[in-house]
Amino acid sequence: MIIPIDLAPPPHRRPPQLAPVLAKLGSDEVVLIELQGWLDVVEGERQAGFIGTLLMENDKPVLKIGHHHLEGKLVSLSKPLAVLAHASAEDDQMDNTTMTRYDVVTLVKRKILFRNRPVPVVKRA
Amino acid sequence: MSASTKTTNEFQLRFAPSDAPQGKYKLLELPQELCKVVESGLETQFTIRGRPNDDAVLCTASRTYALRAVTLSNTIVVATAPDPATSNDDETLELIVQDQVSQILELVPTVPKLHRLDTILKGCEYDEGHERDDEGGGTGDEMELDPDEDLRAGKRAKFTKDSVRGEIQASDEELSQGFKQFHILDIEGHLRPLSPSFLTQILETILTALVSQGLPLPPNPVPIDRLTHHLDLEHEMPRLVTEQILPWFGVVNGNNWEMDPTAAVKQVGLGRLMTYKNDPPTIEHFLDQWRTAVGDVFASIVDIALLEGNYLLSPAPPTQATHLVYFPSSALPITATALFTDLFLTRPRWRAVDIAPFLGAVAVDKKEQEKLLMKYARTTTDAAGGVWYTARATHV
Repeated sequence: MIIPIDLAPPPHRRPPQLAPVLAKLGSDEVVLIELQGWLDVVEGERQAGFIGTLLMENDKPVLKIGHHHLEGKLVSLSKPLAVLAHASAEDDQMDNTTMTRYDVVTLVKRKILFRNRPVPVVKRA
Repeated sequence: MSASTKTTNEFQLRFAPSDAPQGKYKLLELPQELCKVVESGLETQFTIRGRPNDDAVLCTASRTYALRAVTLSNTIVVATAPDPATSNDDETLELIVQDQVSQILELVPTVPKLHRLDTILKGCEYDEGHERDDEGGGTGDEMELDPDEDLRAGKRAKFTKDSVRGEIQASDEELSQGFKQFHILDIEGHLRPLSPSFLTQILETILTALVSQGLPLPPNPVPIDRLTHHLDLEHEMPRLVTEQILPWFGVVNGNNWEMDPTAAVKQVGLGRLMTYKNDPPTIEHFLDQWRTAVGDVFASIVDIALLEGNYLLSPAPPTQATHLVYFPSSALPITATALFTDLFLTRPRWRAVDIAPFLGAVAVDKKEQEKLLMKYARTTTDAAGGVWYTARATHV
């Protein structure tokens, strides 16, 4: 079998452009954020749920999630990462077999790395 | 909090809407050369090829890479701008988490896995005598050479170049090289390996015809039409076969064939050595026969070194050799462990120069070869200072 990986998919198969501020932290379409642990909601709905805030403080990326205050940094990737999005073949086949396909939506050369232990956010008095 | 207090440096991180597919994204680490390919737009597609049970490989137009999944200790969140279709106010201040991945895919250059061609195309060989059932002029009244041939032909699954692409883990360019290397003909769209004996016969005929017909000798180009016409008329070797053989042994430019005499002489030697499979000849006898077969003009090219990777000297070094044993690397296993087991069963000890020709299937280059030898063999040095490789007991 052959699984095609399209290197230059048309815009409608790629994510929308990011705001310039964000594009500086990743590529034009994707930002990669590396975390210890993972993002989840314990209860309540995840659907389009609010997770936290990403902001720049003194030129460093900061993530505030619930009580956590994570300080990160922008890291260049030694080997760029191609971001592949899984897709099925469009119906240009006569038969109904769906073919697995991937699109390279972008090439990312840096990531935001949050390596430090989360620091609880303390309300200022 | 009112909108006016948000600054352009602050972004809301949100999960994607629930109808967005989960597990959709994969991260693929690209080596330098592939990065350039993607950015330059020189190629529009890579492909992952193989059977469902194979270890996956990724192929570009010309190279093959093994695909490996590396698990990370951290998680990488893949985030994008929101979908404009589901736009909210201040949409540009949102960052949507599309996926979270804990694995990265790595690419490692690998030798293309062409050995399967052999298995797939078994039973499709083109041999002397097949000319009749492939020539399009049959009216159905022609007598079959062999009544069973019909039955065999019917049962023979037919493969085209396209139909093998998904089966063979190699790039298109490496696959083309493979067809050339394994002497696979394209007869009316179907892949037919040319039988070695017929190939040897055709080559010997070509080499003698060049002289007997007064055709130009290398390095001068040979007119193809004159050559193939002669082969067809005098030797019943069909043009559709001979025309495909010429580019395997030289360069074809229009009606000109710039022959590579070394390649042709080598193949004749190889074809002849195969006939001695069960009866090793003396070196002298074999070389004599080989020289006679290629004729005086080309006899000086004959050299045992041309057959490297296909023979062993008997007795083994350091004893003076007297006989040649047919030992093709193409018949050896392609996984390192099995290969080294076989090699050390054949001879308990090897010199580097003698074992190297048999490591092609598992080592991309000399560096890889050395690594494998370190892993699968033990080195010993003899009294004369020669280095020998022997089996490591542990891996057996």
